[in-house]
Amino acid sequence: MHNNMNNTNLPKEELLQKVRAQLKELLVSHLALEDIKPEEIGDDEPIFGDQGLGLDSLDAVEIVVLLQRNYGLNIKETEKGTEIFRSINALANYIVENSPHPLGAESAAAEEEK
Amino acid sequence: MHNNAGTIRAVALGCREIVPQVLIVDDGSRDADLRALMADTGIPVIRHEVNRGKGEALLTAARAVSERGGTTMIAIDGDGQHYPRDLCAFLPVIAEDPDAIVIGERDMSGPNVPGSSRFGRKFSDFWLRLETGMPIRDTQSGFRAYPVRHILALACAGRKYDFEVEVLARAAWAGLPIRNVPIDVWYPPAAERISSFRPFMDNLWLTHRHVLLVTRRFLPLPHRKLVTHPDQKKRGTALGFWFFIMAVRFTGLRGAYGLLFIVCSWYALFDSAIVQSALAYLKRRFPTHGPLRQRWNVYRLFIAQGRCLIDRYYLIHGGDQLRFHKRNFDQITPLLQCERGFLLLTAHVGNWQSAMVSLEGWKKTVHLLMRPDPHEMRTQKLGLHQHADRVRIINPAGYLGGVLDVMNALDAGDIVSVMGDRDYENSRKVAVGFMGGVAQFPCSGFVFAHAARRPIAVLFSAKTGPYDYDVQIAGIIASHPGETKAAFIRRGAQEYAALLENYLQHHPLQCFLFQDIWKSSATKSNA
Repeated sequence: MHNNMNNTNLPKEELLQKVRAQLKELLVSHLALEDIKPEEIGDDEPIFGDQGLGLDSLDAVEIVVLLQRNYGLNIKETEKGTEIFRSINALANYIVENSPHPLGAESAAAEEEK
Repeated sequence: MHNNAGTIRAVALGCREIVPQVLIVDDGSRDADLRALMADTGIPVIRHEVNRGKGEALLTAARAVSERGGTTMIAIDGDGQHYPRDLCAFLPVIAEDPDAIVIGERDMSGPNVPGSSRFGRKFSDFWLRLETGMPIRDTQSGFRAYPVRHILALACAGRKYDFEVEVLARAAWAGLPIRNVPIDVWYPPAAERISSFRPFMDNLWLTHRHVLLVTRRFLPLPHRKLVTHPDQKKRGTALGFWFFIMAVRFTGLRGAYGLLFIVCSWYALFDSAIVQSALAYLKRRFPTHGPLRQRWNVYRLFIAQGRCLIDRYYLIHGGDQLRFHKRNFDQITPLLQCERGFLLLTAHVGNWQSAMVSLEGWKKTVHLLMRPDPHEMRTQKLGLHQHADRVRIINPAGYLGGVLDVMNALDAGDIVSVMGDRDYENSRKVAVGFMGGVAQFPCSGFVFAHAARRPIAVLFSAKTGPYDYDVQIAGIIASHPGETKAAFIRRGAQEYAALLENYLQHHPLQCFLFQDIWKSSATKSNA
């Protein structure tokens, strides 16, 4: 699954940056994080637990759904989850490496229309 | 110390050579004035004017040590059977493990050791093993180190020699480590022996205490933990399990139920912590009942839960005489035929285990979100022996509370079963009206259902006769198109609460919540 260059026509670093920015926006809107602005979220901050974003396991439910519906990704092995959900950086890397449309379902649809 | 004037001075002085602070508790001795005897040594003597028993003496000592700012005390008998030099064996263990009770394990190979003592020790160790499920060595040795704060918190009822065994059982239940160090023991020739132990009366007290402790062990109510060790939690289940199977095998279900009357009356009368946890519900269910009637309700609630527990063991053991009557199962027929999965929302009412047996015949795999019980898993897979491959456990203590597994299971078209009335301490709660108050229910089931866009089937079971259970689908809760998560959680939880309240109208004594879910707490809310 390393054909994402064909889907987005962006160099990898730039793509990662876009994915990270988009992810932060999605997290804030989907999880209704009222006191946090997307740009305040650090790339390497832990997502879950007491430090960093401090999300709990029920927030993880939303992220799982987000990955499914927006990026067409299903994490089948729990063990992999610990790595993928470590930080925004790790999550963005996973999406870019594995998703058929790393900028989300809507952007993929828009690309097709062009 | 009781009537040990001849030896006490030497013992106390010997101890002070090793530890700086020595204290004597004189439990109503009549053979000498210990204060006068010890006056020149500066060692304090606390006196009980009348003999109150060894347990009382140890508690007096613990309070005195605590008042003086001490954290650990080492108890040594005053009759000279223990050697103060053995204190040295205790000190490194206490330093390493300040929460532990350390027992001096007597070397009984010496001369003059009466056979009755050897037997008494083995017998006592056996009882303690039954009570705690762990091997504790030399449970009759009085030479012990106690963590003072914990001992005072344990609420032991025994005031005589029975205190010494009770404190070990309660300490083990509370999660305190129990360790041994080897010590020597001196048994004088029979003619010179001075012991306050009265063979008949004290053995009777000990037996009485052991019977109570064993029954408490098998009562399905939680023990208050003073110290928690992750690796220690499941200790002892194997033996308890075996004990119950044997009871059911030899006496049948009704015989095993019979044992409950003694146990449950004891706890309904004397164990205030457990009674309080039951009253939180009962006061709301029976607001007009006075205190006496309420106590009677507590007792009946305990009996009901005890019976459900016995049935559970019976099922696990492969018992096949219980009958399950399914009610309203036609409501979930469309869900079962559908390729997509759904959620089962249950509660701590009736016997969820028996409810699971009614799921036999379903073509779907059921995932239970619960902490796995290794013994149940190993033996009969939750009683679903013929369909064991159709039941899986998702551990909520796993990564992200098991939500990845929950979501994958729902995705794969499986059923996920979640507790709706209470789950894990730090889980998110939603406030809903329930039984005339505002109760906190966990959000998790509704969050899963909303995110995965799957319906919730509410399932309750109730014991309706000695061999009969009703298992009912109380209702279906599903999110409306476009309903926000927060709105669905509120509405869903309220519907669930109404179904549960209705169930409890019909089965008032099947509510085994044992938690004050109406108590407002600082938990994260989702509102």
